[in-house]
Amino acid sequence: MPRIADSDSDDDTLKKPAQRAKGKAGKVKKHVRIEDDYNEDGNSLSEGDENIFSEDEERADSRPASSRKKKKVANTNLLGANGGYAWEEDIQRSWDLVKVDDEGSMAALVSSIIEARKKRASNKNMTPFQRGIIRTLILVLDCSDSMTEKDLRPNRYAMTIQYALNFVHEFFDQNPISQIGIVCMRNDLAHLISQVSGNPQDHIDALKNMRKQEPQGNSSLQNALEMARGLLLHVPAHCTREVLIVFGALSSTDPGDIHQTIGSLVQERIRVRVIGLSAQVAVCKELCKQTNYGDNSFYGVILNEVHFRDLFADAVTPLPVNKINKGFTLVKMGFPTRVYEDMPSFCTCHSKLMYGGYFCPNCKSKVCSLPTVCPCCDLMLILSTHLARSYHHLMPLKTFQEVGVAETFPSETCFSCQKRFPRLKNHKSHELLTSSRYRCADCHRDFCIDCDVFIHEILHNCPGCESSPDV
Amino acid sequence: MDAISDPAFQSTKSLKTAAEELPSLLTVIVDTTPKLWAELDKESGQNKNLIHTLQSLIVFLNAHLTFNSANQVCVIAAHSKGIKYLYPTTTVSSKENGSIKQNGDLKIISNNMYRQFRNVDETVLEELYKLMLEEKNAEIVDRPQKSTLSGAMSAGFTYINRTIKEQENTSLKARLVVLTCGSSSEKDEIFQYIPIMNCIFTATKIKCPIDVVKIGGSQESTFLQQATDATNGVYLHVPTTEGLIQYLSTAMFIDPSLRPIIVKPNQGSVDFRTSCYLTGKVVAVGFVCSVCLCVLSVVPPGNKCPACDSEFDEHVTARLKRKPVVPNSVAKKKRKPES
Amino acid sequence: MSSAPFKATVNEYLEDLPPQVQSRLYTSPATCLAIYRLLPKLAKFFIMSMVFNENDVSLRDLDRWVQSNGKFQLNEAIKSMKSLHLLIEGRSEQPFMINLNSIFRSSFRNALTGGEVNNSFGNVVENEHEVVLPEMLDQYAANKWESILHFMVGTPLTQTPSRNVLSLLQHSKLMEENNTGELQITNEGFQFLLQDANAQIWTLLLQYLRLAETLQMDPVDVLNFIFMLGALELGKAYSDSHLSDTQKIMLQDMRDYGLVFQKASNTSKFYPTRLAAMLTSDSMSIRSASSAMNTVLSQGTSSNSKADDTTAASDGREQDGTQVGIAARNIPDGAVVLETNFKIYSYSNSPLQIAILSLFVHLKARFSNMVTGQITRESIRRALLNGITADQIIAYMETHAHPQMRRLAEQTLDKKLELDPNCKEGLQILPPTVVDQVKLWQLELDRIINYDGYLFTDFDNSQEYSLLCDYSNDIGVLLWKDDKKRRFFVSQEGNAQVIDYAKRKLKKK
Repeated sequence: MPRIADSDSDDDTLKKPAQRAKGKAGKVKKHVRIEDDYNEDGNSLSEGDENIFSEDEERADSRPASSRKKKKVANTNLLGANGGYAWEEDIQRSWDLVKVDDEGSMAALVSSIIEARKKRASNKNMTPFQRGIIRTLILVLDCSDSMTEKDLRPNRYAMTIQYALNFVHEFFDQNPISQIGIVCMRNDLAHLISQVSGNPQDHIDALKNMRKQEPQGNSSLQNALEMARGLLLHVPAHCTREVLIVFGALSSTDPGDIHQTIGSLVQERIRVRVIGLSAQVAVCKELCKQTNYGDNSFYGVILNEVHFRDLFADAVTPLPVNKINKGFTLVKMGFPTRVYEDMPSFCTCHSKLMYGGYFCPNCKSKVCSLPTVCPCCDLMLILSTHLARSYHHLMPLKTFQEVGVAETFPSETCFSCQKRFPRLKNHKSHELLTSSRYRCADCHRDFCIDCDVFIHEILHNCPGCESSPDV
Repeated sequence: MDAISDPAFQSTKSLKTAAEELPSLLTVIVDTTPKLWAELDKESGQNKNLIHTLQSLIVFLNAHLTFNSANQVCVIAAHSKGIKYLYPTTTVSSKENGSIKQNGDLKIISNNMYRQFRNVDETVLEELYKLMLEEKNAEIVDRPQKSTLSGAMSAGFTYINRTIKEQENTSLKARLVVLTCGSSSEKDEIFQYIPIMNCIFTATKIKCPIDVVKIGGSQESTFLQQATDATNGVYLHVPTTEGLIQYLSTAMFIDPSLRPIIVKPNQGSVDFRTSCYLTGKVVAVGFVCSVCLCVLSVVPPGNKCPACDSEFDEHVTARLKRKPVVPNSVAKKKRKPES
Repeated sequence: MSSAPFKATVNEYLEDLPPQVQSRLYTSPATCLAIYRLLPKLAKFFIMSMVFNENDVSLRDLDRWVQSNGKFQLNEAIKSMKSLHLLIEGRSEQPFMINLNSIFRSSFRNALTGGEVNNSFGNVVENEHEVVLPEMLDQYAANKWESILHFMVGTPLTQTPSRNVLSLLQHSKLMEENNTGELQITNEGFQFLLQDANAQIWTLLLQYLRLAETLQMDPVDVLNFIFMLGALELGKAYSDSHLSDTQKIMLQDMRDYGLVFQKASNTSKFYPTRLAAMLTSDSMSIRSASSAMNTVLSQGTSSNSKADDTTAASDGREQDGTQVGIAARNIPDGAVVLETNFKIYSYSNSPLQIAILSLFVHLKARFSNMVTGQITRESIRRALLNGITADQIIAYMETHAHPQMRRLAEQTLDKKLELDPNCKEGLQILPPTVVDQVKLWQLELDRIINYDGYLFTDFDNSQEYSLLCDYSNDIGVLLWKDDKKRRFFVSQEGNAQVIDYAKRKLKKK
């Protein structure tokens, strides 16, 4: 929910004043214009600054001057329906979207909504990048007074912790050889919640303990970033260094110059991603832009709970490797063998008695679980399955194309699950709304929407391509 | 109020839930490539290995259906040209409408059998018959062909996903059984490493154990072993098809709801090590390219990764090549007291 | 969840049979199949592993096969198998070696492999010209069965059930004759009404079995027929040529219950209905006869339109393409939503369900697809006074709970387990406030507890009083005392002791 901004922040829902002056001439036209001017990088800022005075004069009579209006790149998604601020438009009731067609049946509409939602879920960027697979991520959570707001249920703090728990699960699921550390910002200080390690259980226990503390005080970005820098200091060159900040406040109380900190972060090639909970804060935007080589897409402000979850999920996929930040190296790793024992013996990492474990090939000491760093000889120990888990990031499955509506189709049932394709007809015109078929570009087999989502999110194998015997 | 919290009042619900029988879905993947079975016949000196296997499989399907009246079955065959669903089938057949079973079936199975079994068995055998006819008439290709097993497993998972979504109210548990035969060369399997690993991760995610029965052959199939190990399944290597039904009805019969309490047959050691990309040797300590994740046993010449051609940092590779050095002074000092 | 009690009753009946009768039972493969399905899971697993294995198995091996947390289930399984005489002493003389009952083994193998089945699974009539639609069968079954239930509840009916049924109801003490000679429902009858359809059918069939024994009908034949009915396929015609005479008589009776359908009384073909197919099934998806009808009717309209599509006849769950909204289809009829403010909403249209609900719910409004009401003190008292217990009411609501409530309960349980893995609470489908309140209302009826005993009064002096009082307190038979008025009350069993003691002590004086 956008708020009245204070001096530090800029409101992203501002649109260019030029359009406003044209009056409310049809929504479509305005949107098109905005898309033309929308740029990926922040270059439009400079032109905007020049125009500001002329536009201010233009608008002086049309709007009460409540804030400076820089010509910002307007995000089409955030723009209100009639071209104004998001809070100015009429309340959108969810039941208005649903219209009952002539025969009183909503079946076709419901199913097309379901399909559209699923399609959106499966539409991700699928070009194969080179990505940094071995990652070290510091998760910084805001525990200041602003987190007691109840705009997220039950309050921001509880929801953040819940989503952080899910994030830790997902992160270790997708990146088994990576590590996480957790820091919180509280009472103008930064506290270390959980050490940098590759064991998800420690982090989960630490996060659950955090639930018992109440958020308090102000948040300090600089302290948190300095602490993160310290934690990432000893990370070897082949790992990517990342920081994910969940920031709910609108300001930051810092002991020194935060721009110096940002400079040192850039020098050490640490990449920062920020999820804002209330409104856009200029210093966060600056931080993300500089540490990510001018890419603006790493700072996101949430619109609602679902968006919050999506932003968290974006942080799970590995970052593409940048030309500047090469860091290709060979990493020395060990592949231990599993051993079964009749008598229990101690493991070297926790000194616990257990039956069986894994022997480090270098120093032959026993460790209990993988992946881990051998405590004796500092060699990273993994199983080949952990490497295999990340393969699908490097060689992603191509998205399936939707087959256009036609009179007849070559297939009646989905190739992989044998479900019959539904015939969703528009009741008035008796035309097919959608063919419900999704075709793989390589093997030309059709799949249903459920299989499509399942294949792209969980399986990462196309059954059609796999079942053809040709090499 | 204390009377309410009297334990006599608390119904023994925990026992009830233990007695609740959850239905389960059994998906069987059968590898029916004729080439493999022919090799097995030659090696073992017996004919009709495939027929025996199929007989045992049918009885196994019946046994699964007896376990719980709400159990379901799915059979997929991975043959030389692709995959085929043996049951349930949705073939648009050219037979007359209505009462297909009565008029059109080949009556392979006696009519007096329990209907539930008979329907499943009849369908499986009919489809298999059709499949074998197609195989017979198929052209022989000279190109190297890879096994379609991973495709069948992927299709099996999508079927499981679909069935669970459709029947959300009855909590259905799923499991996958793979029947394959031996003497598959190791080279074949390299092609399937990544797809099978993806299948393994899918199975762990949807909590579906994978059981494998491998008939004949001298080597263990390492990928399938890893699959059963990671998903809490059972791996059996059986020398011949004799007595296959005993194996199927004991070790392979463990229902997902019984898995927590039944002791599984021990697998022994599973080899998780990969082989080097350059030399092909099995690697215990190796180097991993951080970009493409290929495993190498030596630092590659030219400082370039052979798989992705990305250049490595000079300093790092130099450091990796360094060997431990013992300084001379220490050695000299030690000698003096001895002499 | 209420499959457990019905299984328990059937199991008890089977276990009570003498071993010779059991052996005769095991010659029929259909019976073996049905009995197999009644066993607990672990027992099924063991039996399956021994079916294809002729050798003896030692009990210790079975023990080692189960991990330590499954020992309770292991004992349960072995007990049930032994009581049905499925496990017998091994042929070799070593102790603790057991083997599977060979008769059972051979018939079970025949069932699995399709060997000599000997009409145990019924004879399908080939080349059936007159096709009987499943919808018609379901309607017939629903009508017959619900007329019985309606009769019990007391709704006015156009067609009363046949005399045989009425006499069965009377014998099983579900209804009794009151003063005016009419049949009135008893407490057990109320409890019967609250069970789900499967349990109800089995209760009646077990009563029928007991009745059959007195009528000199062979229980083996009767059981075989019942289990055979459970194994028949819906919608196919079966001939009765291979049935014994006993079984032919039973066929007529089964018609009255709605388990089979015959076009006329003397034709040789009969069609099993869904109620019969449900006999040996475990599924919870069909809870009442009318819900079966409703589900079939909703599928029936789509099945007519797919006459040109050919889907596998065996996989009857294939749906036509235009059906959208899978979730809506799976709501069972009679699904009940219970709120924490004691309001109840039941998505049901059948008069029977509504009548059953009205036994303990104060119904307020009826809509086209649902009924609303509230659980009040009066409504619960009315039910309690009729003999229904609070546990049955709670069990009924739990079994008929809407799937949404179940899902919600599972979610809260997951959250609780996440916060505290040691929490031992089970799944709370119904709101605990309502559950506790119903139990409290039941307790209200138990305000007075009666004890029989003896009152001691009129003591001469306080020493005597305190002497006897302390003694009776020491031996633990004192129930109440009043020191001011020097009276105390002793239970019946302890009275003799106190009197002996008093005589001894007072004699001395």
